[in-house]
Amino acid sequence: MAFESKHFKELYKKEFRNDQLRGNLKKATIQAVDKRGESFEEVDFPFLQDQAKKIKQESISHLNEYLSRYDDMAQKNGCNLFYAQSPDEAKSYVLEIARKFSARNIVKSKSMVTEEIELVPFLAKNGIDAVETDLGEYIVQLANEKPSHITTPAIHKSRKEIAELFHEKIGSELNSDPKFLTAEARKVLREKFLSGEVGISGANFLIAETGDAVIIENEGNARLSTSSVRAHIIVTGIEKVIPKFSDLRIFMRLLGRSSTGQKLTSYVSIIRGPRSNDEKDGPEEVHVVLLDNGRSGLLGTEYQDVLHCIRCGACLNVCPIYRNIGGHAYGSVYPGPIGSLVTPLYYGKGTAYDLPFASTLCGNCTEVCPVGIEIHHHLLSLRHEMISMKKSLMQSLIFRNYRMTMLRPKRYDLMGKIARLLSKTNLLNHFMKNWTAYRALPHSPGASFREIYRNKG
Amino acid sequence: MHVFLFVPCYIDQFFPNVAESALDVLERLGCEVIFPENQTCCGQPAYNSGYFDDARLMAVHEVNAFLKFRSSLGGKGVQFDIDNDYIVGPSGSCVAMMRNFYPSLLSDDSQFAGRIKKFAARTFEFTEFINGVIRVENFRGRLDAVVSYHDSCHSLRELGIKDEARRILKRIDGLKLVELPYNEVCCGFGGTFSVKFPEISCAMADEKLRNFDSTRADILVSSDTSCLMHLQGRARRNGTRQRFAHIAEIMAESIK
Repeated sequence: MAFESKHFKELYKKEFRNDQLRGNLKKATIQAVDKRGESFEEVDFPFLQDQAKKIKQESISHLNEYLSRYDDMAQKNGCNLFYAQSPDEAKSYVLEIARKFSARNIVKSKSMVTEEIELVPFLAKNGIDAVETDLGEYIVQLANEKPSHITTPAIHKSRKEIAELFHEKIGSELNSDPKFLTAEARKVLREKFLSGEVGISGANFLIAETGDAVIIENEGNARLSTSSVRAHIIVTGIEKVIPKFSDLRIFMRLLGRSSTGQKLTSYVSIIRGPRSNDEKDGPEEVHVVLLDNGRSGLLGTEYQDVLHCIRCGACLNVCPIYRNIGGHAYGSVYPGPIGSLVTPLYYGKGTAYDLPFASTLCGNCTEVCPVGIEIHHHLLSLRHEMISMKKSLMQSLIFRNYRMTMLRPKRYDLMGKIARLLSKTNLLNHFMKNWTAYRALPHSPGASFREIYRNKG
Repeated sequence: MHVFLFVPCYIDQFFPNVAESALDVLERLGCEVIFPENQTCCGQPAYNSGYFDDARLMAVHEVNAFLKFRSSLGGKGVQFDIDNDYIVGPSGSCVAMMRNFYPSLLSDDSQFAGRIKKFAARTFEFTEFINGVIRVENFRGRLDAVVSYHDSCHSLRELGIKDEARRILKRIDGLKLVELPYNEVCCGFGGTFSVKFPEISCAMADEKLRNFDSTRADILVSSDTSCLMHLQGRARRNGTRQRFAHIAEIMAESIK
């Protein structure tokens, strides 16, 4: 897996310069945030958040236990389970199943974990065409790009850009009406659904009590791509397990509202297992690939609650940084505030040194998180870990000097005087160019407050 | 009861009028105010940059500047009484550092022996203190102005302050408050973020300044000078004549 997030500083500058992108993002995220706010007016968000957090705490702090219960039940239901430590193991298994069914065409519904392991390019290399059937993912796939958002993968594109893309790639007429564009995609995708031998999906929740996999979506593509095929492969993370079926009542009320401001998404599919002998349709086999890839490393650490994430994308929508640079700038499958935690925590701190610093710590992400992850406080802790791992000599010297000044009130007094004098000149401009090139320095007062206070007696 | 004024370093050096105004207002409201001169910086810039060890040393110094304060005031010896006195600062961000982050940062420091939590609990942001400890009804001012109010993220989300400043502004006759659209979105300052990612920081400032413009208010008021320093600096670079003031300055002006 390529860790472009190492190059965040170059990536964000490039994305930031794209005015079209920033316009698209601003429009889409403001709309999402407004709709989210409205949708929560009629339910008690703090109560649901607290309940959801408790359920996740219970399942993640007893992850082994719940996974093994899920495993028992899912096997009883006729599913085949495979535990993958690494992306390679997960991909090989998927390929093995695809080959067993001589699949040339795979229909795929949206799954962040398949993005994480870069499954589609891997299948393509092995001669298997896997088509994304979620509209947003389909757009991104046509454009040969990566998703820029967890739940709305093509959020960075305007309708007009999508119309141009469809015109170029699938010969649609130039028409940016969303209904038209959706119909165009549907024409292509219907054919794919009919010819697909194997379907791949993710899962939003795995239920220990019943062995069910729950898939939440809006387009019906996940339901089609998991039912009209001979084999259904679910690729998901080990952290998705929750204890009881009734726990869903909490998450159902939170997930749609948090991601798109919907009370409930259009489709909720509960997959228990393959077609039974007395059933006429459904896949012959259901496989569940459970990926670790760095997740279990968080268990027992202060970051354990990062595993609570239900991938709703609310923290991206409210993040003013994300709104200005978009998902691609983060150089990771998981962008935005939660991505700035997941990327270094799953794949190693060296892969994303700058990400925890790309935040004003405004805390809006934490406020909207439906499962109560302390996102911005974790970003702060990660900053400390990054500094402990590697720090610039210059910066350390600055902080050392600053600290020494602050520990000695007389020296502080003197340094304050000097700073006030210097700020009247342009001598500071060179050393503070990241401030002064963008903003004026404050007007320098004649005396500090303590000098005034002292003189008052 | 004494009020120990906590004046963040950048306010002390660059915005003394904010601290003077806070002092004036608190005295007019009947508080006996003391400024312990050993205080310097709460350490937040180091802390938020991940330099926890440097921040810890500054936090120890800052706490001691209050705890170990001794003075003769009006002939009586005064020292900090953790059960009765208050620490009040005109900055949500620096108060959040003291109140929310000192307890964990200094939890292992034996010299404070459990007093840090108590110290934190006695620390208040200026508008919060006026609402929560002194009654806001005791304040009344007069100022003809149309203002808008900027919520700082640390006041809003670390300290949970939202209506406090608004309740104060309502006590000023002649003053009209026009709410800022999207007033819970960050202004882009973020401490060292402002110099690490200046383009993003200023895009956020410009957005805020446009929203301020849309209110047609004369002055953007806030209880956090750090946000204002950033916004004011940006507005001056943009060549606009927008005006900014700390709420303590508005209050002091309204009782002159």
